[in-house]
Amino acid sequence: MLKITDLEKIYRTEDIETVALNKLSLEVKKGEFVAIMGPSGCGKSTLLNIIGMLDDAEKGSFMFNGEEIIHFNERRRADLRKRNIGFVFQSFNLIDELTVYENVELPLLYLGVDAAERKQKVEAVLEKVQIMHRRNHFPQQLSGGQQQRCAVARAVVNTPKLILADEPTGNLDSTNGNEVMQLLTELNEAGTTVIMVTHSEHDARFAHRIIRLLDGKVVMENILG
Amino acid sequence: MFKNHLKIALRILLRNKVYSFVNILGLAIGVSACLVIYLLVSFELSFEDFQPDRERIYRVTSGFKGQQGENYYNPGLSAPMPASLAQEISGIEYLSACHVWSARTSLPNDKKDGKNPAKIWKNDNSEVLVCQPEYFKIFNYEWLAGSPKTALTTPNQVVLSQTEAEKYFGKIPLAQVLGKQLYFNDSLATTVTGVVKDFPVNSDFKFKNFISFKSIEAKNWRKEFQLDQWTNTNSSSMAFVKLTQNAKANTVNAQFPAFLKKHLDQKDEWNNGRMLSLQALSDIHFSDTLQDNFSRQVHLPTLYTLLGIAGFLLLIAAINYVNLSTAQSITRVKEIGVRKVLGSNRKTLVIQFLCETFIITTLAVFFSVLLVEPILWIFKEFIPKELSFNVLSPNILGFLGIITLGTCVLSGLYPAWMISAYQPVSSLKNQVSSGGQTRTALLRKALITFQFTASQVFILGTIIVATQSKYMLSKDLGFKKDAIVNFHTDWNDVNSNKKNVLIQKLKQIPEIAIVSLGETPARNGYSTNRVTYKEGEKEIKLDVHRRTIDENYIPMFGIKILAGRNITNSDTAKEFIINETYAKALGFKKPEQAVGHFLVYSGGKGDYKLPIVGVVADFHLQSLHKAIQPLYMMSETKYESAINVKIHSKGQSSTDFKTVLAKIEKAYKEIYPNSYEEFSPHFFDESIAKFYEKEERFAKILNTATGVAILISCMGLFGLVAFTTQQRTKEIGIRKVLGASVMQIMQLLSKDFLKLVILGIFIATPIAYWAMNQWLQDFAYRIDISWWIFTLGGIASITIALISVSYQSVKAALMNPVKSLRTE
Ligand SMILES: Nc1ncnc2c1ncn2[C@@H]1O[C@H](COP(=O)(O)OP(=O)(O)OP(=O)(O)O)[C@@H](O)[C@H]1O
Ligand SMILES: [Mg+2]
Repeated sequence: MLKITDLEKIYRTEDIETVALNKLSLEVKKGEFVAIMGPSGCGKSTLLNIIGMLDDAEKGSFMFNGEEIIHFNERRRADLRKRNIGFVFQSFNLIDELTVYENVELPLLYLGVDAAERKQKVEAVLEKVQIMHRRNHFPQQLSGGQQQRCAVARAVVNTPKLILADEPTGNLDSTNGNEVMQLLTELNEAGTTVIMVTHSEHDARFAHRIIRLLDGKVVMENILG
Repeated sequence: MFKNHLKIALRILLRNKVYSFVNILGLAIGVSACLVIYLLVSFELSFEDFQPDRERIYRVTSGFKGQQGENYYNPGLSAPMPASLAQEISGIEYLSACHVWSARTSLPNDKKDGKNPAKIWKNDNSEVLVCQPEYFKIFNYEWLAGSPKTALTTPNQVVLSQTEAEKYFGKIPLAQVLGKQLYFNDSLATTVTGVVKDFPVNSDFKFKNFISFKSIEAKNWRKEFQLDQWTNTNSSSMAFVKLTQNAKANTVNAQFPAFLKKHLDQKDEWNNGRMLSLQALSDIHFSDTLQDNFSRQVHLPTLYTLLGIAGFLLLIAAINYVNLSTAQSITRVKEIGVRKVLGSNRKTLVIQFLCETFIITTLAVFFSVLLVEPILWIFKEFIPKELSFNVLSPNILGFLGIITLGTCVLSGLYPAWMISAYQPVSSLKNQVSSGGQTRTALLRKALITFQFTASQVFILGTIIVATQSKYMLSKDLGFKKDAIVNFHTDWNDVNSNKKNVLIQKLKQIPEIAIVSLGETPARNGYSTNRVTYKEGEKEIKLDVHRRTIDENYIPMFGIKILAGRNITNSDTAKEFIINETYAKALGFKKPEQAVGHFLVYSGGKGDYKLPIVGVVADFHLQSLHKAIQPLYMMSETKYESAINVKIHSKGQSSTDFKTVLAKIEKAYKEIYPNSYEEFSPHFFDESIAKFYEKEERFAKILNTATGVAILISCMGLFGLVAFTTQQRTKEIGIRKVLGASVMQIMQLLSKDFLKLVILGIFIATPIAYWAMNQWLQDFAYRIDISWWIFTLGGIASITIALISVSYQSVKAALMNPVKSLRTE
């Protein structure tokens, strides 16, 4: 599904340069569930943002579905992103002014899906993550677990081919965290590719493969049984 | 999608109440100022624009070259001119001589009955017009009865407007009005031969009675209308023309000098300076040189100033919006990041933010519409009474639409552009690139400075106008003006004996101190005479102002005699008193040197050579716009009709004044029982205050504009401070825990804003100095713009800004830190 070779990302501030990704190479196949692990500051989020086309790299190659996209401009990346990729963040990132239902509906709106289909899709996905009864609540009125389930629902409502999750359980207790992991596994089993950054060995075991980073480089890969 | 935009926009408005309130109210005030000014300006500019062929319609007007190089203009011309012009000037399709006539109208039925007083209508100057049939070819009236072909072709015919016909005869079918009889000034009998529709309200041509010109060609009327007088020019005697299709005003104007040369006696040097020229119909409403007695003139620069003010106020309000929305965009960084991650592009975001602006401006425009009527009411004295506000008229709706969209783009585009530029990764991490932030922060500072510069210019303008007004009303004018009442005897009654009887009667009223005959020392308008001083080789000819007075005049007005003696009463002129300026102009270094010399002036019956018997100290002859000019005074009680009465003012209250006035009126009515003129006395000091009506209006407009500018700017400041304090609640809490005092915290929050206000004050100072100096050039006697005005203005500005800043900062500074730290 995606193939990254010799990717470099350098952050420059006034006085120092930080090499966040250092000639990193990585391949993810369609239908895989990959966990990315490593110490804080090793470049996990940076990598995920580049894969998610939120950020661009200095050098290297990024093939997405067989197409080189490293030189894509913002508009083309946005277009590719909204059709193919769903995001789940550690801090949920729900829009406070919108209800659960409206938050989940948003990607469909941006895709120009018509109203009836929107309704049906949103309700189906809310049902699946079990917060249908909270559909008219605002994010602040929900528990952390509920908020993250809502965020997952929003990420998958337009059935993306790839889900990127950056520490999806980082702000949750173990029960709620397990529920979210369960959801991601189900989605993966239904055919969606999942790439997840995590600090938790427990969560990483839900994946097929664990990639370990250090100082912007892949240092080890574990294939799980 | 749009629905989604609206929904979130509304929620954001409701969540940030201070922000929304400040924005909506500020914009509403700005927009309503624009709306009212638009109403007024578009009304004034629309005058006569309904008239077909209006670009071919002109008035022939007169001019005179004055002796000192200045020209005088008169909208009329000598009464015999129109007939000759029509014959001799090419390029004119139609020409009509017109006479504005302030005649009374009466119905004959009421008059026949000897005792029953006639039913009489007094008419304004603008209501009765004597004109030729061509008038209706020049101006396009809609005929409701009768025919333009025959209506004014013979003597003693009159055409009425619809409203006038109803006024005289009630609501009867208009065809029945034809043939009815009407008298003008009791002596001109006319038959109604036509009824026309009144012109719309946006016209100066409010004439309602059109009398056939042939009526006044009869012998007795010829004289009254001076139809054979080539030397007099009266503003009531006019000529309107419609040029032929391809004639140019220039080519017509070029024929006038030869015309004048042919008809006027060239030996009279006065005639050398006479001119004629065409005045476009569209200029009549706006001319400041040609003032006639039927139209209302509007000062175009004032209209443009008003438009400028409207634009400024709207700009200041839009700035509030830009400032507040860019400032608070910080709180929306996360939302924008999420939207971008979910597939929104910049365009959709810009549209979303413009939607929010659109809601705010729409609400603002809605409120501003509600404000229009109250504003019109507050300013009713400036606003022509014909002006009305109809929201549903296409013009107004169009204007509102343009204003809504215009304001929306003006205030919404930049914030939308700036906010939507946040990069998704950094905005999710809440680390908005600092470059962009400082740039908008800088812009915000520049805009605040601009707002306060504008407000400060307004403040300084207000102070200077107020100071000049006070100066004009309190300046020593060289005469006394308190407790003096002045009125005219009946114009129609030139019997000088009656006048003297009245004066005797008035003298017997105990409350009255002195009675004097003569036009007040300072007055509106003026009349000058050519006076010659000739002694040996020396000859000085000057146009000199004139007052006819009596022996009581100088003591009554407290005018100082510098040399010689007071005038003695006489029926016709016997001697002169002159003012110091005239004495100097004649070359006398000391006033007493002038006494005993002779002056020559041309009266009705030849030249008079009379001695100077006294010189008085200068006093103001006109408003303070004009410098004091040479003056001569003489006693000619036979021709003077203005009476001045000085009331004992010690211990008098206004009710006492009323009883004295009643006594005067009683005496007046006894002497002139049949007067058609209303007895209308004026207090002299009030008449003087009236000289400055224009300034008073300007002051009122300026005061309002200043108030609104300050209000909007301060609201913006208030909103910004409210926002920053809210953002910094936690920081303030920590600082307090660490020992900061309330004062220190207030300083922290206010200092940055105050710096900008002070910067604004400095920028405003030279601008206001220059602008107000221009304005003061209008006055021959004016104040100096001194440093205290700027100090006062600066203090005022800072105080107002401090008040709007301090409410929020004091509130924040007093907050319990434990509470503010917990809110995180
Ligand atoms: N905007 C930025 N400017 C400068 N340096 C940055 C920026 N973002 C990240 N970095 C640096 O890049 C490196 C990688 O950061 P990244 O966020 O990818 O780490 P991470 O592996 O996700 O860490 P964590 O587990 O703590 O989330 C770090 O050293 C970080 O300091
Ligand atoms: Mg990270």
